[in-house]
Amino acid sequence: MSAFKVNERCTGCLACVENCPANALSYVDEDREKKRTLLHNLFACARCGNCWRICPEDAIEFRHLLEGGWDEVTTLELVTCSVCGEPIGTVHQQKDLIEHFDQVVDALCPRHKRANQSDLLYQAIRSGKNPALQD
Amino acid sequence: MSAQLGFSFDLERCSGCMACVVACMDENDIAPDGLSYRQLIKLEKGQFPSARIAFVSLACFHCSDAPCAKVCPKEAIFRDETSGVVGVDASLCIGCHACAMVCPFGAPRFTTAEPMRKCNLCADRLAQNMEPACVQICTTQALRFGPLDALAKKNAEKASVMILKGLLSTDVRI
Repeated sequence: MSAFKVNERCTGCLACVENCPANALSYVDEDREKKRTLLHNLFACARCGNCWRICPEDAIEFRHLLEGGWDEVTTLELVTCSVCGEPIGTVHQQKDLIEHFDQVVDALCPRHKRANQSDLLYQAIRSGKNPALQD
Repeated sequence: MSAQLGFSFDLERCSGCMACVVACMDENDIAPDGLSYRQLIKLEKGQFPSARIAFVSLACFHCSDAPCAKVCPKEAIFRDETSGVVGVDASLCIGCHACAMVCPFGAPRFTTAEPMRKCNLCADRLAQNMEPACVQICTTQALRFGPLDALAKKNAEKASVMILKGLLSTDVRI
């Protein structure tokens, strides 16, 4: 989730924090919970790589900070077409449309919505009201 | 004040030639591999010897209580009260797809990194007193266009139109 990552070899020795020239690394020790949390500030980070050079455990994965890459931002559940499985939107979007706008959201992609509506029309005609399409 | 405009479609006349679909793509500069605003649905029903085939040409129905316009967070979709045309202001569209989710007919069209586009009843042609491209091209005159009251009179005897009106959840104008 973050641009600055350490792998499982990190021992929390704070050598990187001490040696960061940009003061982009910090930490918090929670005495009661007995937890140490390493903090990184991407805004302050100069991407100099000093932390990576200094780390005694070779724990800092600095490469992707230089190379660039995609961080996952969020993962949400999809609503898909009940016929073909094509994604239509997220469950949250659907919920929003139903709750705030009182709209019906069919679990159908545009193509199958059209097919569905055409089918309804045809069935209504076949049910006996249009002589031209009756048996 | 001009009358409310709309399409009418006669299921019995449509031969499924798809000229309306192509005319729409031509009019709106849609790429050959793109999706026309007007779609033709082929319905095959029954088994031999009583198999039947029917075609339905669907575009935006320009609903009088358009759900797409209701849910648009940027009010990019509007319904022209004088003509009844449901249009979209592409400069306001943020591409959230809310309109596509609520439209019962799958009318809003999205391509990657483009604002929503949809049938606007060929507003440019209407301004020149021309019919929409799909209506003009229709070889069997299954597709028609005009003020709704006139269409209603013309189609009063057409059961298909009456049924379609009764069966759709939203108040559509055919």
